[in-house]
Amino acid sequence: MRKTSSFLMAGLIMFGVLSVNSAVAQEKYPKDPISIVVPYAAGGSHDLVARALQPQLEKALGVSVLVENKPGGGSTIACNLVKAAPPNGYMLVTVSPTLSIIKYTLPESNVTFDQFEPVAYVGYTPQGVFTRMDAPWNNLKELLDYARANPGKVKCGNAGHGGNFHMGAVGIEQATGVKFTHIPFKGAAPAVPAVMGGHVDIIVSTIADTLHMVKGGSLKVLGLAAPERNKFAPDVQTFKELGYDIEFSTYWSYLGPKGMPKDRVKILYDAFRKSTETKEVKEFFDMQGVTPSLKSPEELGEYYKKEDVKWGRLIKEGGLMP
Amino acid sequence: MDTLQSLMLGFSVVTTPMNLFYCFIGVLTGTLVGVLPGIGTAGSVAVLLPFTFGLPPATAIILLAGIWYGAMYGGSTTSILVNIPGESSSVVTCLDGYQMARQGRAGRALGISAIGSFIAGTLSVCLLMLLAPVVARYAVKIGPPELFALILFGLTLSAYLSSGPVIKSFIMVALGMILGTQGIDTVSGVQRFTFSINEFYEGVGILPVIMGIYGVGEILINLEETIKRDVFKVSIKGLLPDWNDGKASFGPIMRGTFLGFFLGILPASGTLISTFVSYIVEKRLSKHPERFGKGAIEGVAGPEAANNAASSGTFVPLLTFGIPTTATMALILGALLIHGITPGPLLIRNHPDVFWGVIVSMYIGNSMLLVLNLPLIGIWVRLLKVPYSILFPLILVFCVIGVYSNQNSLLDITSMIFFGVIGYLARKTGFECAPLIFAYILSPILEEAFRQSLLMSQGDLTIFITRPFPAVFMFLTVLFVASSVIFSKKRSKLLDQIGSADS
Repeated sequence: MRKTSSFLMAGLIMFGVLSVNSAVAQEKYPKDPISIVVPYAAGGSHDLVARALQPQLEKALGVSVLVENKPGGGSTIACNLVKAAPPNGYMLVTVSPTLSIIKYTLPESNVTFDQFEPVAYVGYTPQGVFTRMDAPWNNLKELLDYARANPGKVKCGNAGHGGNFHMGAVGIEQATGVKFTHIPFKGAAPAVPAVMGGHVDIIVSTIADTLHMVKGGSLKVLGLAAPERNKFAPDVQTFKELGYDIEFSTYWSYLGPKGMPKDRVKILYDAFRKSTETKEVKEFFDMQGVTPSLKSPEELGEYYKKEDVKWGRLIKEGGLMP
Repeated sequence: MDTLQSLMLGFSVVTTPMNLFYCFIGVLTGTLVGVLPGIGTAGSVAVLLPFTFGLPPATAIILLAGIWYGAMYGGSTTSILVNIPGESSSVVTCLDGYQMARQGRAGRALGISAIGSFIAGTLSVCLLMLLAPVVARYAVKIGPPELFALILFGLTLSAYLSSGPVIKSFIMVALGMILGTQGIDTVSGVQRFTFSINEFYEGVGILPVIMGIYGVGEILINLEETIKRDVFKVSIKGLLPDWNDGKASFGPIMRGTFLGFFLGILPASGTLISTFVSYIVEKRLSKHPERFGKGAIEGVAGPEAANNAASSGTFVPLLTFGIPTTATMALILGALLIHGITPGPLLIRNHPDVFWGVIVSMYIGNSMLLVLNLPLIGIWVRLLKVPYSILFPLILVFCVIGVYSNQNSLLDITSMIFFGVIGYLARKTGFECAPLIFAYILSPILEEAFRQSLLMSQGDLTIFITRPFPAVFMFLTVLFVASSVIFSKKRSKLLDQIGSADS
């Protein structure tokens, strides 16, 4: 008798807890602070974009939004952290194409895009080919003609073997049939003086990373790996114009752990959409060279599937598997 | 004439109450950041960065730059007083600064590092102003082959970092080089010594290594040495350096200034390497190298001047090309861009108020730092009277907070404690850690530069002797190694003499 009643009690309590829980889930979201985990050190472009969005997101969501830096491990540390977080919409991660690349280059890190719930994509910056001011080439065609006539002669600096920019350079080789000599540097910063000093002939980087140097007159940009011209460098050719349909970019997308409730994803996406429409964020994007471009959670999910196919093929064909 | 007019413009920008105020806040924060071990400039600048978005551009950069060079003043304080570097760039100051403090000359060590920093800071700002555009053009000519030759030469000198037996310092150099290889290899993408731990993909950071070896290691060793603390009770009179100190330090400060400034400009160099190089140079030039490591004032004055000059030097690639060579410079670049200012050859023309305002604020900031630091010396020295049982737990807390806040990583704290034990064991067994740190910083650059050079030349080793600059340094390296071998007998005899003189 006693036992049954205590069982009943336990059952009742369980039920009560569960129903309260589900009531909360449906009732109000968000009510606690939301954190955005940045896989890079403070000051990088993903950090700055997140911090520019932060006050606008707070306005739209009505709760505080925290930007947390979890650098290291080639962004696997932040991704693993968010992947394992409860899928309640209170923790997001901002990622670049690295998420699609490390699936193939660092398989033991156990990070793949399908462990995440897409939330929003707010903008991108196209990758391009940059060279020193007095280099003999003035546009993409001249460079490609030279590189085709002299295989392996063009030295191409990148920001580390297997990184985003190295992959972009390999992608250019695969599409155009030219052959570069790849020279990796530790991060994007040391590759820039190397191309200015003529130690390497070209570097692959992005408009956002190098716009200030192009504007400042210390680098010139030969061409962009984008489907259309970029508003920050409108007179620069794209590979597509020469008949090579390639697209490599760094982008700012936001993901949460897999299994987030659809309504919460929608609330978050709406907040991101509203934030990118504010004057403050628009001005910030202009200053940083970020091309605004919005993708809904569904579009972002599709995009990641395409990215996965693209990178998988590029990495396998390029012999870049570990 | 043009420069003079520009300077006047700079002065008119800085001497508004608001800019003077932010300059002061910047250098004050910098001093604090410098004094507190583990808490670095990059982290502090990152915290203040969003706050500067609302300020006028010149004011924002004046504030952030103040933190950067202010920390170079503060960093030496902790090194000298408790043998724990407040900033990684003041590791070398521990070698002789702490010994000076043990001899009751803490005030003089603090004084000479403040004065050396002031002279170096002011002179290097002049160099920055006059030479920036010219120097930057040549600095980009330093590519991988040049860097390789320079660093190879530097590494052969590392034996001079230690005052103990050469063989022990070579063992530490080897350990440092092994440690430097950890992480995903930049050139081939291969993982080395990562033990399948994601946090090690980029290697164990410089901060846990330095804070472990010097911070935790020092605390551990002091747990057993409390009795010896009497040495500090020697009178701490003569707070300021006297004439003899000044005479001995003048050369090191001047050399440190020029070395630091030019090394600061180089990509992949930063402030830390300049202090090591300055120390080595002073020891090599000294008529009494045996005094180094035992409280030689030259060993404090030179490196402290060098790190301040290097902090100005790092502005050259940033302002002239928009290339950040350190994490803090990357943040300052971010601040410039957010205000719509494009660093580059056109910066001086397009935004003269920002360029000259920041330059002049650095003169004024350096003067503020001197005024701030000299009266503080008395207070700092009195800090030594705080019992270790209170002081060291506090320092440990700061080390842990600093190391954790850098990357928000618990593994960094574990690594710091691990290296603390290494540092403790090394002290117990007479191994010195400076060569390890030196090799740990240099070897990854050396290896990368070597492989980048060979990629550039398609595997042709003559790239190191067909270019003039590397050829000179390769020759110097060979000459140096050869002379060491030839004179090694003489050297060991000399060491014997020193040894017997010591005992």
